[in-house]
Amino acid sequence: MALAEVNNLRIHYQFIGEGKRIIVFNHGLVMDNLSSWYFTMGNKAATFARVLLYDLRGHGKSSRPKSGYKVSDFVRDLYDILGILNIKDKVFLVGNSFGGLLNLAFAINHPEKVQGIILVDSHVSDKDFAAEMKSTLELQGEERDLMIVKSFQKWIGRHSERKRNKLAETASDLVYRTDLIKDLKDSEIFEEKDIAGIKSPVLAIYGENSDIKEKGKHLADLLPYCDYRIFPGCTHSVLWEATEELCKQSLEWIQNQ
Amino acid sequence: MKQTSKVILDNLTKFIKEVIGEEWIEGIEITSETSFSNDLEMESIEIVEFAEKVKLHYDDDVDFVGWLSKMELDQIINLKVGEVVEYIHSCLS
Repeated sequence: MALAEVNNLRIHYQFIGEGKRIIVFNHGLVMDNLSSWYFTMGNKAATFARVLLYDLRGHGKSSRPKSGYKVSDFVRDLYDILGILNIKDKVFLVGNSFGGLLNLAFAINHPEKVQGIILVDSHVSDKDFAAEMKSTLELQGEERDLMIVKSFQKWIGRHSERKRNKLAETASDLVYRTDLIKDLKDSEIFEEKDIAGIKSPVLAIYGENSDIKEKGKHLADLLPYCDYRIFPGCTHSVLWEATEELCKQSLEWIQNQ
Repeated sequence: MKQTSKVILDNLTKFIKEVIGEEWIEGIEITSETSFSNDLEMESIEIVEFAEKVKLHYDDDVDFVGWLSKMELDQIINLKVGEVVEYIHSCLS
């Protein structure tokens, strides 16, 4: 298993494919890991680009420290992983949900590293963000199981007990035994001028029925070079509800840049 | 010398055991018909780890990432051990 020593943590990554472009994938919070991107767009992107997928700290097969979950910590991890892998060229960033928020934070802090950004129903780091996250992540019992099933519906399959238990364990470990929620709450909020200062081209994809669609629209209006697309009939889980179309449009967009 | 399907299946079985641990598959015989997600209940991230092992072991001869890239998600979710064996076998000729 490929592990990078970053900020005293071990970060699990997969660096696959060949090509001129470099595409980095950021996954969502808590009930997610690099496999979501690996099996949807990652392998397809690797047919024409070098692709970096990694588990965010606390997630998947990466270390799970007690604290250090501010947005800036995640940004620093990515910056350092790029350094360790000797990636000097600009990269495309693709992020789902919280992963999209990380893309924006990374682009604000390291604009010289970013060639383009794809946001998939991305959260925005505004004043409501921590509260939104808290209410979703602190779900318990049946509600939590439902959320897990929703997040991983395709993977759960017929015999779901082992998988659901493991996912639930990881989720409650992160939410209740680390400072994740507190740290997210204490994270810096993006100012509108920061968003407006992102000069890289952005493709923003939101589900028609996503609860953060309007935030996405506002975000797209602030970004100077943003292509905002709505996927009909989809919710926040657009990655799972329109996998093929999402991959097709995203990869075409990257190849046209 | 070309590996037989039996040798490939033995290798894949070893990788699966390394990824999910012997205790989880005690009593399950891994055959060509065994499905990663449904029978072995492997999590998606465990299948990534498995894929990495296949890639490392057969890297010179097998484009495993390229093979996966042509599949839709449902195919990957329903993937059986035998399909991987067949693909590797076809590459090694």
